[in-house]
Amino acid sequence: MNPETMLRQELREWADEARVPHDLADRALRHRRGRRGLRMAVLTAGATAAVTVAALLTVPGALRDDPARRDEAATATTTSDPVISPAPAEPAATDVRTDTENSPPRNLIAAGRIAVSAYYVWRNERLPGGRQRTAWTWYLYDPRTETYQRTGWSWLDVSPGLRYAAVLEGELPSRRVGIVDVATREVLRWIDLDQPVMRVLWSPDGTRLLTTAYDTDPTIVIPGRQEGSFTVPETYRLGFHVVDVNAGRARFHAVPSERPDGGLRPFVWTPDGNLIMDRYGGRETLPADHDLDDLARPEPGKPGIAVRAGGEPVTVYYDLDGRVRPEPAELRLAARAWQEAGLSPDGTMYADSGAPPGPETTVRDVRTGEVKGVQRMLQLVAWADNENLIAWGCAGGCSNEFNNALVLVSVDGRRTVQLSAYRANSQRPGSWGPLLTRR
Amino acid sequence: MDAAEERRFREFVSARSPALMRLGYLLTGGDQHAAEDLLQTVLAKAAARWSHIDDPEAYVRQAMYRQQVSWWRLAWRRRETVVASAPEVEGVDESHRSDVRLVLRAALARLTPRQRAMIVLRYFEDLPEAEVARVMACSVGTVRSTTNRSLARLRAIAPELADLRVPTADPLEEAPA
Repeated sequence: MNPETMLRQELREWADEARVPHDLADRALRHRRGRRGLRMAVLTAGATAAVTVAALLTVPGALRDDPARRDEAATATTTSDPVISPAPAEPAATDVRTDTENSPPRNLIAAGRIAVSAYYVWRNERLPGGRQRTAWTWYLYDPRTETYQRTGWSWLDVSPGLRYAAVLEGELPSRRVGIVDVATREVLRWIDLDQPVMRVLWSPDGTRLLTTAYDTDPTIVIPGRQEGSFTVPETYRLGFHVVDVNAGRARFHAVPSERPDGGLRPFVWTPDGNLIMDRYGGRETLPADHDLDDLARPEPGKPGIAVRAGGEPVTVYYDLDGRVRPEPAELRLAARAWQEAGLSPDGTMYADSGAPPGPETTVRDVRTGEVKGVQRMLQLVAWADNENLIAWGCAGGCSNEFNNALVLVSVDGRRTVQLSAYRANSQRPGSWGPLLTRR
Repeated sequence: MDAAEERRFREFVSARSPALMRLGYLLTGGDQHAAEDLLQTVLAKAAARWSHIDDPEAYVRQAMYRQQVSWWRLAWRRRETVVASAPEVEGVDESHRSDVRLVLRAALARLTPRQRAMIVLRYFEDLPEAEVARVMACSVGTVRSTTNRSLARLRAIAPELADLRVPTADPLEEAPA
């Protein structure tokens, strides 16, 4: 085919993929009326700029005005100029997008409020001295082609709204985190960290990052002679940073491990982003009738929670200044029944495992624990909306739980939509895993 | 805008939205949300001066081109500096390299908005250079050089387009990628 013809044809076919909103006239008229009162205030963005556009234009002042500093900003720690405004500007799409042909996926997978914003392919990497570590290759969603494209980052997390990615580069743990524009793959800024980190997570409102710091890579093992056996070198989790993305400032809070082989889980945000959870980071050593608030009382001379053998593992909560806090009431049951999906968007239900031998998962009332629905799934990983969840479901009769696919399932378990192709064996190197993000 | 004008506006939007969304989709490099933002913003602008617009379709199309280029100007000026050479099709999996469509879309998406607008005007709207110059409020020479540069970038990214060139009397005139 003649290249010009190819280009013309491709432009037409690509344009055919545009979806036409039914309410454009309403939106335009509403937009116009709404803008009248704002016109004087939004001088630089112009009277007609949409909110999303204002967000795009809040590039660092230094980058805007001084060409000589542009490249520098891509490689060095930046100033405190605002860099992003990542909260979704308008209600996101909620349509169901599947790719059941390709494993790993090639085209966007999404359902309700959640999208697979990226996926990783993991492998074991040999190191000197007979050691080996886990390494990940990340494929990030490209909104322009609606496909996933390979990146060179060692680890990443995508912001709510899918506009930005927080990335770690090179050998992990890493001492800086980058903010990347998902659409262009350009690094908007680097933020230096005073402790090396393996993980980074956007806050639910997209304004902060939470890291987990380790002294060395905790995935490193020394394989033994027998297949599957290995020795684990001493590794300590050090604590977490709370990073103010726009200010470019990271504050570290030490949460010392009591022993090297425990307490290695990464810290995560509570669903409202007000607190930080150390899942199973403590042990319930107090009498069963003792008020849980007392868990916030550290032992004399020790920061944080003492870990003692014998008690039930419990989640410990920290505020953004690193102080231990009582457990939020809405997480009293949900935090003990940990499934990745956690609380429903309206906060009335939580995801729980089901009766053995499975596969079975349940959804329960957040206050009473009453079962609201049972699903024949392996794991519930996210809430698509208040009536549907994204889950891992297994193939056929579920003879192999690691032969699984992402599935959209209703709370009552009756309706299912397969979202991804099946993974042959999720336990084997080379298999992929999704990053689920609010879109 | 009185009731009759609003009805006319709604009829126009209803009838022309499919074509205008197609245009917006290409201008934003296949970004559905950005395309909706673009069209919504331009329609709001059109609604504000509806009674003064003789040819709504022409007005909206021209406003979309100019709006898209101006919105992105600051950000893209920066991008063009950072990406000194034509970017590779990073992340397109080896197994998909033969997929011309994917490569071409990725390449189109990575053009600057101005470059992409020129390509869309020339190859999607099929406008002659003089008309492109009028729409983009620039000279015919700028249209030619920008289009050449855009095609050069596409060629650099997508080898399948190696033969794609704007007819020119002197090949040395072609702007570097």
